[in-house]
Amino acid sequence: MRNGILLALACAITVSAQDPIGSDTKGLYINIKNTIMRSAQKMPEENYSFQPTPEVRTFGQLIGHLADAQYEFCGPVKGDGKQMNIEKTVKTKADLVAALKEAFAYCDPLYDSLTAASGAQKVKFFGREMTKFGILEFNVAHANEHYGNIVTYMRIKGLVPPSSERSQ
Amino acid sequence: MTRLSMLIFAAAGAASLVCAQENPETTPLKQAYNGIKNNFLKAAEAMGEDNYSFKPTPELQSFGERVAHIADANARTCAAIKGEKKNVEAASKTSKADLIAATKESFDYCDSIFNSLTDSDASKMISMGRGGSHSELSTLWGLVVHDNEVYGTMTVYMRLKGIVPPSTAGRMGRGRR
Repeated sequence: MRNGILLALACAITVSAQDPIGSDTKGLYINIKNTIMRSAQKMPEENYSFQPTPEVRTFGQLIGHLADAQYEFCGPVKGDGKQMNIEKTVKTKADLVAALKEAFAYCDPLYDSLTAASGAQKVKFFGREMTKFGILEFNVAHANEHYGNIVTYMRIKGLVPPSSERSQ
Repeated sequence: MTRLSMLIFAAAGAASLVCAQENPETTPLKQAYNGIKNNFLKAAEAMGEDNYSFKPTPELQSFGERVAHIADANARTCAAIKGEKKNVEAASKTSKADLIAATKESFDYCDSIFNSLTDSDASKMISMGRGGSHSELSTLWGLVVHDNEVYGTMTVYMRLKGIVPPSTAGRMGRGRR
């Protein structure tokens, strides 16, 4: 994954050397978005109910949680306050993959247009003021933490996570 | 997610709220770094020595190797920013005590960068060798993102051993990880 992060940054910098902060952030977002989407598609339907222990989310709930999180982070940046409840209401693999794809599509324009200048604008986030850049980076960090959960679930089920496919 | 937002702000403390007015770009980064640093070190402490060799499947790194991976990665990234050579050699260590010491050393080494970071440093370009050149802000976010991903694997290891991860401890019954 470390290589993936460096690769994401390397790709981003070649796209736009004029605004490295905005393009690097976009690179990190696209990297984790793609690996999570590919994980959701690769995990078989029967493993969506898998949870390593009873206290933790099922794989499907993790996907739902990540979809909800896109709205919770990107909603304040957009200013439309859109919130969803996918984790608790969507059950099947097909519906969860579709919801996740839609959630990332909701955030995509924010990362596409992010610059150092636009990212410095402050908005309300959970009652506090935070820069748009900070919120969008927190989204990437949060998604990576849960991708760490996902890769371990996949390994337990005998699957190679997308970020390791090239090294297998 | 609400839990995450609580951690985001809890990590900051009152002092950084003042700084937030002065350094809007780098203050969220410092908050995220302090949050993952505290969780990571607590996780390393909470796991028993006998579980440092545990790995859920043969293909995965052991818990101890996960800790070592972050200690070495952090030191490598922060050395690049400082323009120095630094190696805590965590990959060669196996005992819990030695790995925690190496991890603390790597975080301590990085602390000086985060503690003195201001928005004027954000766009300074850092060479990461084969990884190309990136802004200092993005390089440090890359470190935080990577630490979060590895911490996310460790929380599953801990749950499999019946241990509540530090990011969930204290709010039992309200959040799952």
